[in-house]
Amino acid sequence: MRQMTRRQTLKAAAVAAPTLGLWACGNDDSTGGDGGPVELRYAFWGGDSRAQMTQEMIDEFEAENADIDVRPDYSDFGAYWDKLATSVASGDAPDIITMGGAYPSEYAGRGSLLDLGQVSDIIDTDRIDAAVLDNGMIDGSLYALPTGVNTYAVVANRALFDEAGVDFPDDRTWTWDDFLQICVALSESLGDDRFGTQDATNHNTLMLWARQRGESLYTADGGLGISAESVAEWWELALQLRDRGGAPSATLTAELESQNAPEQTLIGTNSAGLSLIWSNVLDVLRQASGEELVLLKPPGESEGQPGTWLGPSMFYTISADSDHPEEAAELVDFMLNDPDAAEAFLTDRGLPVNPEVREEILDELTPGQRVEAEFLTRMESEVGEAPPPPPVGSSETALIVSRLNSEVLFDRLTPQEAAEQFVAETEAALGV
Amino acid sequence: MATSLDQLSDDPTRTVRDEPGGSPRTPSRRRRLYKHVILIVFGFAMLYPLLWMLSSSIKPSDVIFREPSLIPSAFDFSNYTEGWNALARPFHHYLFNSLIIVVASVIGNLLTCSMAAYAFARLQFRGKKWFFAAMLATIMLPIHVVIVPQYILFNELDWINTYYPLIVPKFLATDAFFIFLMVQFIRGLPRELDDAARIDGCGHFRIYARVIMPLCVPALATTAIFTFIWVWNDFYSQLIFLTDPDLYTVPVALRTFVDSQGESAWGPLFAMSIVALGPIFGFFLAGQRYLVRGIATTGIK
Amino acid sequence: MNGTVKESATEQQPDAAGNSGRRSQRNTLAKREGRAAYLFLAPWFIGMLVITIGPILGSLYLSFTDYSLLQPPEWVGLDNFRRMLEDSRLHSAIVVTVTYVFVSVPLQLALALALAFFLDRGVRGLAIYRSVYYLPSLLGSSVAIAILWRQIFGTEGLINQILDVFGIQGEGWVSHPDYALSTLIVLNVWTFGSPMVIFLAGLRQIPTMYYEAAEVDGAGGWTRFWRITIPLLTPIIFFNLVLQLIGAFQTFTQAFIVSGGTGGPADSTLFYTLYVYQRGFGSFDMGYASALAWFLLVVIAGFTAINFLAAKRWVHYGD
Repeated sequence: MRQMTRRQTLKAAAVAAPTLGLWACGNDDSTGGDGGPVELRYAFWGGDSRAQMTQEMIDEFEAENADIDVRPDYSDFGAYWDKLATSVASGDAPDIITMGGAYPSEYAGRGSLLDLGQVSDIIDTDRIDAAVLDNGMIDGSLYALPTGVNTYAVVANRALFDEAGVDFPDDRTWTWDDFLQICVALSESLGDDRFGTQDATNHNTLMLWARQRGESLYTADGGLGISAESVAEWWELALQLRDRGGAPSATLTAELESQNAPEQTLIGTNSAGLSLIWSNVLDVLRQASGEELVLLKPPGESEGQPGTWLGPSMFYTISADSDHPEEAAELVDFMLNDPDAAEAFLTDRGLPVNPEVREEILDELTPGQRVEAEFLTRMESEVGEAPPPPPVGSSETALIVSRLNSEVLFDRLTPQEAAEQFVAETEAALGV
Repeated sequence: MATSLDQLSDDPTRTVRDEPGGSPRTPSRRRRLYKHVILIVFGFAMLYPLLWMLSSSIKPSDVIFREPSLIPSAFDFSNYTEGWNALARPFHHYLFNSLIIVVASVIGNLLTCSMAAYAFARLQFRGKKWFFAAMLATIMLPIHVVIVPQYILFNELDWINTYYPLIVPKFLATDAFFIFLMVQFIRGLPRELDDAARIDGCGHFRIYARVIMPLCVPALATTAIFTFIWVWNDFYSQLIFLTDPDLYTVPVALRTFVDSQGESAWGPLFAMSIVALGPIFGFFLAGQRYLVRGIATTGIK
Repeated sequence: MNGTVKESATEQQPDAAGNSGRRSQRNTLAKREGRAAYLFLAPWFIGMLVITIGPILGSLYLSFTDYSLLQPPEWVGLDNFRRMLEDSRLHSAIVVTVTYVFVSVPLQLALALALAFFLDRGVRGLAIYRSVYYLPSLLGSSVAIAILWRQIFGTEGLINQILDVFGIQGEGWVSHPDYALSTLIVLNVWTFGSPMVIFLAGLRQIPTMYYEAAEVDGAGGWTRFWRITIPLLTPIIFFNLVLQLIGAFQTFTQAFIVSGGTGGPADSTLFYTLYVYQRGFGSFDMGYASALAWFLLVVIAGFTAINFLAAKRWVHYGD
């Protein structure tokens, strides 16, 4: 069928192109060209501020590598994955692909990414902590390089604690029960549509919750690691938070979930005292709320096993179809290890994984970024073992959790029923 | 009475579509007042979200979500200047890109959809019903399952990252919506008109160009307005087929103001969203005069 | 009229007319007309062959495969269609979509038609109303829609602020599983501008000679409305009905934006196409998504066919 369409399309081009010659002002200078510069397409998600930092980095890189021409290709997070899947499916993948969450596994597991072992002489990973690097190991090979480190933590608004007259928690010892009590106390004294916390149910929280119970969200062989009992216990807690007013009603939770930019969250609008977040959102939340928010270790870390982990904020990967894997590897190496790149990015892609580079930029950070960096340094010695990378099919987990969470909060399913359904659906998605 | 309908309908109390029973002066005036009150209240409901957007566009970014009231506590027009210059290129760059695609699409649709519609509405040929059914079937599949095959096709043609995938289809009558629309309009025209022209010795092309098209001005205006607006707002295909940020169009550029993972420029987003509404609203205003009686001259008496 | 005569000329076989000279003349006329038709349709034929049909057949093929987007498709026969029988999320998506179609399409069309009659006057002031009513349709799929919608139907939105004045504690309409679909129906009705514009164009197209004749006969406004306006507008009413129905079955953007792509809360706004999208791009299950899409095509085609059959009874064409 492909061939038939090809023949037809050529005919179409012959007919249609002249008609339109005037209108099309495409940018059609394709790679080819003997001796011309090698063209690389670098895909990432994000807004324009990230695009401008990236352009700065690209300018530095091109100054050093005159024979390489890097073209940015970006869109917002939601659209990014559709565009990426479409272009990869059509054999037109970008050379360097930014990844996040479970996507490296989804793509590497289906053979779309380059095994970075093939370019290990170009990308220098010596100074990167092995535990951090492990996040990019899929089936024993390195496919994805963490761009920066990150950890799942609690953000707190001290001003609201003061206003409510609630004692600020000691994050070395607090338990989930303390968390519940604090949230209820905050809501009670703040009143007026302000809360202790926003509902915290998502796959990251479940990961933390599972690990504190000696389980894990996923097993090393790509299965589901969390038990239905643990999931049900989490939802019991979420219901208690809702019923005792520590977290908002089901409708407000659903509303917040559909519009989840940092500026729209409860913590970002100064309407909640606590929230579970990825540490790299801290700076944005500080700007949104106008308050000096701080990071805390999540509750329950002293009760069972430590559940926190140092996660990658994003990954750099290279397409398996890239015509220029070596040049692409050079760009990745530049972004990981070159101080100039770090100057351009600062902590935009997470706190740099290369400690030498990290040193270089510490002075240039905003107060919020510095708080984050200090927190990460502290957590390095306190986190648990690195979790196995999320397996193929696990990008669906987030959606499953969110849907079942609504069912629980709207009292359509009991925590136990929802937990069992979660296990069944996630296992189906993982193909177990 | 010898007045034509056009003149009649200039007087809102006496159009043909007014209720029967005639109209003594006072009740009609009161009724007119009621009508306007209803229209205004209804209009406010229609406008509320836009007013909110307008008010957000002049609030400082960081208070938009903290102070969601309609009347801003502080005025800050810097969102407009900031938004205009926030992206890699000044905003008029994206406006211009969009305009190229939109203008070409309007021309393409007007030309080729009307030709196809004339054939379907007025001419007899073998397989007509089947072709018509096939045409309608093309708009019954969700875009998401054809986008990958489409991308493969355009990639084979080396059209990715050009405006060809967005423009060429419009010159090949691929918008079944407008073909069907014009078919309905043309079929509504009395046959006697074509017959008269045929007796005068006109061929099909002249009937199409000289008789049918001039009478289809409302349908053509509708086609032009809708093509303009829909292409202008068409985020998905422009996003998928364009990769070079220099080629980005308005809807794609607008998305780069927000970043669900990091900091978003909400104020500039709303400001530029208002700016982006300008051209389509202007085009609608210019085009709507062809949709109603009384201002423009009527086609057929 | 002439149209029917010609039709019989192309379709009837020799036995009828005695004069063979005239018949052959007719035949050449028909042939010439056919040739002209193909010429007028040439761009459409090319577009169909080159741009449209390939991807459509491609997706038909994919519906019989297991296709993860990233690996080559694998033929699985009817497996995808069999899976549909046991897919409970699909079944709830069908309920959501059908409810939406049968509530929002009639509402939107009725409102569009009523306002088109109201605004179809060459009066200066009315141009403002026409524009104001059309404005919401201009917003399209702007990201702002979701935020705006929350400003109206959210927990702290306009509706609840108004209810508050009367001492009623409102819900977060847009995010409650029992009401979320209704707010999307309102959102759709709110953008009645597009069918309204088409109705306006249709009203504009009605030849004034009919009204003049009716006036001479002394027909009142009401009679003219029912005897002239409505019958002559039926092709346009039919058009709007058919296309709004096709569009409503495929509703995606508004639900996608307002629910943040989830179809939530609790799948209450999981439209059929949104589910197709989630399977295809969210779960890397494009084979199944294609099968879903083709099932939808068959359903829409069925409804459209019924519409066309029924149209013979109530749609009046000038030809």
